[in-house]
Amino acid sequence: MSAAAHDAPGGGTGPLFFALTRSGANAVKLLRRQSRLKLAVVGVFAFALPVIFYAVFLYGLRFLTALGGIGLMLLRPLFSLFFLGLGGLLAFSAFATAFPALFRSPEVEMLRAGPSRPESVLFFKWIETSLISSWAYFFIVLPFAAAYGSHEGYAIRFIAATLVFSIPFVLWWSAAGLLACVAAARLLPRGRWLRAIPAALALAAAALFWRARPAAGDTGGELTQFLQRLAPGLRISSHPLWPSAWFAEGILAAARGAWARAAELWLRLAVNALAAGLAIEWTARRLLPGTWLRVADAAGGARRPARRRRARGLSLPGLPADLAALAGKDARMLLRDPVQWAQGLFFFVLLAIYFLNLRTLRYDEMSPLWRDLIAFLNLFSVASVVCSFASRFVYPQLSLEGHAIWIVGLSPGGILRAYAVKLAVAAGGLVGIATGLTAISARMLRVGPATAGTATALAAGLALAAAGLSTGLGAVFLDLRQRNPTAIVSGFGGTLNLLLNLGLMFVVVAPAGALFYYRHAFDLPPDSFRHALAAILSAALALCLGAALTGASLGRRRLRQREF
Amino acid sequence: MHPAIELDDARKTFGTLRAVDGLTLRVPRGELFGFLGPNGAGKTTTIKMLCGLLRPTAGRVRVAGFDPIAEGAEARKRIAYIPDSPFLYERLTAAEFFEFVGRLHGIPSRRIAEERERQFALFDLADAADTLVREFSHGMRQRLIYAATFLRDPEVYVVDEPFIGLDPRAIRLIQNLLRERVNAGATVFLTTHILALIEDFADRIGILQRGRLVACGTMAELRVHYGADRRLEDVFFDLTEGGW
Repeated sequence: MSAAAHDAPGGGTGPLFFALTRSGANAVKLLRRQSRLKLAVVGVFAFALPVIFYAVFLYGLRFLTALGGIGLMLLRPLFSLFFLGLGGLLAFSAFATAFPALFRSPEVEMLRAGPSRPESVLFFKWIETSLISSWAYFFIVLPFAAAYGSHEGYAIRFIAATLVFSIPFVLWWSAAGLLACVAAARLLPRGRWLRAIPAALALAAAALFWRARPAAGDTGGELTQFLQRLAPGLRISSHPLWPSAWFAEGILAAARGAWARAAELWLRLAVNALAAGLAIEWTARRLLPGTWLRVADAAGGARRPARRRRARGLSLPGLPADLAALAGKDARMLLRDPVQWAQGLFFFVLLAIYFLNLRTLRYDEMSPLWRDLIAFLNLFSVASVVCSFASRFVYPQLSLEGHAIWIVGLSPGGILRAYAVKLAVAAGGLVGIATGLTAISARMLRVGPATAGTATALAAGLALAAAGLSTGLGAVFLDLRQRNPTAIVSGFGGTLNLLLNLGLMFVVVAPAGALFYYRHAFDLPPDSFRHALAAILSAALALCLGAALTGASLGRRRLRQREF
Repeated sequence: MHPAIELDDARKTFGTLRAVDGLTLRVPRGELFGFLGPNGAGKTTTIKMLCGLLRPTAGRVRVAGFDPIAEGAEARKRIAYIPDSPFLYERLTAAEFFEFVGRLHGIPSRRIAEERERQFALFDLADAADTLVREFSHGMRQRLIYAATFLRDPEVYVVDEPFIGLDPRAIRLIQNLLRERVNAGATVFLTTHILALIEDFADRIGILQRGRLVACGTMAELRVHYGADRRLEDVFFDLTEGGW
């Protein structure tokens, strides 16, 4: 063995960045092997999304300009609020990304057993987390900068200033999320006390929600209501100690050519980002090694008490034993993989929080036209999350059985029974979630029974179609070689499934939404409205049912013919 | 000179579970030590304490004279840990992964390049040097991790289940290479369930049962205690009866 090896420096961040950049370059080369359909879809979305954001921002800016003096006065505080919101999302995203990356990843275990210093690991994870968590930020910020710049007539300068200011801004917020993650892993209690935290947070959220309810008898025009709702947020976000306020003022100063002020504000951001770097180094040296050991201790003790095991046996009342075993197995596999289900849950919970706050935003006090419009836009949101969830989690279910497929394939019921269980579980779960969320939205908006019933029925139909298509196409394009669900989903079949689901969503929701709009905008006679609604609803539900049955029967036929 | 590995009354508990329960063991330098035990006996927990990935609840752990927690940097310079399913960057090529490990350990570029030629030829990886790791079979991954570990030439090799999923030729190759390292003064601490392989391969054998060391010695010493005509498998079954 070499004595010199003991004196070798090693342990720095250089090799980690080497691996990151080479992996990135190799991933780009791998694009050539990806499905062309998938690349086309990603390309279209990557182009269309910023264009839509650009149009929305431009519309908002024109609206503010049309307000005259007050609109211009609001501009900088609104910028501060916008960037504070983005900063908060960056920090949350960094927090959520950092925990598995720091405490659950085999990469970090490998690095800890090697010469890497905790400072190097945490610094590297800071940069990596910033990169991972900031792509969505740039998808929003660049169209925003382009819209404001072109509105004011200095697009290039404004985009450049936004990019330059974004670097320290992103690093600062990512550091905040990362440090909060290490602090939570270090300080949060374990066991039953940890389980009490979500309940306490839910109670606190409910209390805040109750407190934020609008007082009865609030009056005034829509603009007054809008400003009243915005005022507390503007006050907080415009506080001169927030990096978001420096960002907002800095890019405006740079765009106006006030270079000295812009430089001063950029330096404030940069110095704070560097200070965050120092905090990361200190945390890595003083706290991270102990935190790693604490998390490892907690993970090593995962033992389920026998009493609870008995209580959660594989028998479900009213179901034959084999179906109960298959359904129980699928449910447990999903529940015990929080990295998977947390992604879906995150979107559903966000939607639920937004819907529950519709009255706080006073959308229920708007005109019937707007309330119906918002109800159908909310249906779009629910349906698109259901489509994404089905494409991401339901589609790869059969493929994920992988080499274990022989266990269910050789059981008395055979693979078709397992297929039926997956279909039923997916349909039950998705229909329940979609109808529940849509009903909450309708109730909070206080829409009429026709709107509520139509939206809920369409949500149920779309969820059923998503379950049928995703399970069926998952069986048609079965991939038993992959163990990684993301890889299974990213093939031709997964992309086709997503496209079909999204296409169906537009075809089903748009006509109904348009009918309710025309009903209010053009005062459609009640009889004409009723007849049109019956026709549109019947056609939409027939389409959903047809899609579900076609997908399910295609999958069934393919499984019957398949040789394993 | 300190022993390569020292555990004095080491204990590790997870809640109410005693994973390692008062383990005392010394492995001198230049020894190939086989660490056996049924599933759940505490072997991997012991290994993780040696590598500083878990802190002992009580007792003392040393690697080459260094505490893996308090003197982690010094201990990690001297130890190499090869888990049963080692982490590899899936989107690096074999050559890039080898270079990454070399740079991580501060090995000069020229030596990395020279060693890559040598180790890749030794492990029959030369043709796959520019292939992405994600396309490697289990056996190729194992060979790559050994190649990268031998690059840094540590004092202590801690190897968890080194022979799983390997073909006979690869097993023989790894046995020979580990033995060469031991002959050159390194220490190998390995766990395996393939008792027939370890019987003739290890210098000494320790058997762990429910976190306690229930037997330790050379094969000849174990035979003195448990019967002259007995094979390791018989001794293992006697000592670990009801081990699950």
